[in-house]
Amino acid sequence: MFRKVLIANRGEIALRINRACQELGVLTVAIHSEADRNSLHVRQANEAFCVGPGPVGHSYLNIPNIISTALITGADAIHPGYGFLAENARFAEICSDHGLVFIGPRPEVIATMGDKATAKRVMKEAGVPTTPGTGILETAREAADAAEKIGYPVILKATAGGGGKGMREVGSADQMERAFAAAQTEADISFKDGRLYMEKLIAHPRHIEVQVLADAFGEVVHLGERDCSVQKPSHQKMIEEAPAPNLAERTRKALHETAVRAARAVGYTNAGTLEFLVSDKHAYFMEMNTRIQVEHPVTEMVYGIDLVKEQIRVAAGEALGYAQADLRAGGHAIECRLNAEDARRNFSPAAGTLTDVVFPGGPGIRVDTHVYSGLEIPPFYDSMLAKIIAFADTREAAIARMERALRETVIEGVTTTIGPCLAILATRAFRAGTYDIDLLPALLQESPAA
Amino acid sequence: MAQLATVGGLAAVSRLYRTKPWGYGDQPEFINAAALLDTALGPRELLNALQQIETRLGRRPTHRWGPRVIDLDILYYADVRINEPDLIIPHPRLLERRFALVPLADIDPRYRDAAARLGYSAQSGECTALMFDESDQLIGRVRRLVAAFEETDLVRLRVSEEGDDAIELRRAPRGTNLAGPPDAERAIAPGQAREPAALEVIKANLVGIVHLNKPVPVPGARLEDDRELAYVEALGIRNPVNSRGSGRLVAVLVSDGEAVEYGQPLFEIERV
Repeated sequence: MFRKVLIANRGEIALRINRACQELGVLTVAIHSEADRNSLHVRQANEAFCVGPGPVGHSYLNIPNIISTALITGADAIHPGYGFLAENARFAEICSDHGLVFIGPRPEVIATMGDKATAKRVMKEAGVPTTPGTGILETAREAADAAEKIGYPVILKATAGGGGKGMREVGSADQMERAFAAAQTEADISFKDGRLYMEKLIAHPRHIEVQVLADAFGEVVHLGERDCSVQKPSHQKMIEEAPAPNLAERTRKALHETAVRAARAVGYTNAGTLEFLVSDKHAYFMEMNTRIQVEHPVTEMVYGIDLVKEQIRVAAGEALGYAQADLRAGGHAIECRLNAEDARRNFSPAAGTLTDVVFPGGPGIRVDTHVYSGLEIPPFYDSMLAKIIAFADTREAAIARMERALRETVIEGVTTTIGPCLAILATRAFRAGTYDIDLLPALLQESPAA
Repeated sequence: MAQLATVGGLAAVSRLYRTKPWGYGDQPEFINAAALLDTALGPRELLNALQQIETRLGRRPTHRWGPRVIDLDILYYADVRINEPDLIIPHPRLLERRFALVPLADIDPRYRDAAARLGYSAQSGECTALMFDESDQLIGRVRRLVAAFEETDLVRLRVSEEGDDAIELRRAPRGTNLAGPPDAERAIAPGQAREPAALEVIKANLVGIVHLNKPVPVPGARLEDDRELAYVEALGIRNPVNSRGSGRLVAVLVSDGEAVEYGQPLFEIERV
């Protein structure tokens, strides 16, 4: 096991990783920006180093200062969390050049999966079903020709993409030129890579993803699926649950087996997630996230496994020590993301000082958060304030528990997504477990204030 | 401008312009200015940040601008083109808006011709953009110098042009807890008395191990010119830490071989 781990992140995930390390008896080094001096992750780690000013490019993405911190503190490994450097293959490579273990898969695997068009090709070769689509498109003209063959509606996607950026739905030929230019520009700005590819737009799909875990000895297991179909119009997830409701057993089994096969095909190690679009009985591979995900707690609750600890153990060279047959899921878990965002202003992030904060508690409630009363939310970072996770024997009980927990929650000083989350939970489609990714956009159309 | 500086580095700030309102004559005059921002935020993040600033400034009636609502627009963002319902970059009416173009021409020479084409001239009767009088121009100039000064690590900057009085800017380093006016108010107008001695804290600008130079500098030592006091070793590279000018060493805040973080105070120097 490692002696000391550097946590190259901030916010709730930095706390989450610190907790796993503390329980494993591993010392921790936090890094932070000047704007995050008062952050909880700075206080809870064994050591903390400021690595730069507020803007992420100068601090949380400042590779030389992060590596230097790891070296002078004598850390053995770096946990990247999610976002920032988590899916940066070059960073993973630099870690290994300096004798540091990157807690995640090998750099080549990150690079393959990070390029969405390449990932799709590799998955197709491994026999994983993928959405009908194209490779890299050079021009809007070429895109229009491809769309004629595939059939409208289609969706343009950035090959370097993620987080819903550089994506445009195109309903007909006359929209292509404009959509292509917009997606290209957005991709170029967001990822410094404007290359686009195209997929057939699947009507009313569900977003279902499968958690996998693999050790360095070739053992690959899945930890079931999560339904992440409650998404903002920008495709960012709002509510996730495990297991996915009303999923045909055959489809569920096929998804799990496909995910394990895909992970084996790329020689995957550590924790990862394969995202699928599911429409009727068809499941199409979308992308693989080569990191821990925001919504990992719902899986932890139903499997009783600490995914972050498993990441650290596997990276330290330990064997998983169990096989698929040893794993059992039970109960139902739901996660709501509470963001400092205004649903009435297109979920634009709100900065400010939290004047009053009260989090819920009681049976079956888990709160993963880094915020507290009096904390000033800096304008530089992600707007997520907290994740509320409700766990119960049945889905119905988990929903009731979540509603109770959200009503207990107080966050004053900024606009939050507590209201929108309650509104979603109250819809007939959510309660029946028959919703798809159009649920939230449709709800926003009906009542913009949600 | 202080609010803008929270979302990025102010690379340049235009003079302030008084603009007569269009249409309804009984509105108060507008004040227009342009700023060049060096930011890590993407266009949409920047827009959000600007909207937050507007909200922050708009909520309380400010002492300085009165009850006016502030309006922040992105005129352009590098070479980026965005055309979406709520965000169009470059600003679609940029080339028609004198009140935007004229301040912009101040800080970006590429727009001077366009400003001239709109018939901009301080004398023209129909011209709505009016330059401030001479003393305001001077303030504008000092402002721009301060903004440029902020971007550097310089401790002192003296600018003199033929026939003009000199402008000299000085500062104590940022982050020191010394009582005293912030940097911007440290600007010294021509003919004003010299500043008293200031204490400067030299900080680490990267993470590494600090090595004090031999012989180890001791408090009380006189420093001549730009003397190297120590170096921070990071990833096998020596990054020198200099005194940034002469003065008297007041304190050595680290010990040899100590690990230092970004922004950690290393030395205190009294400038004479």
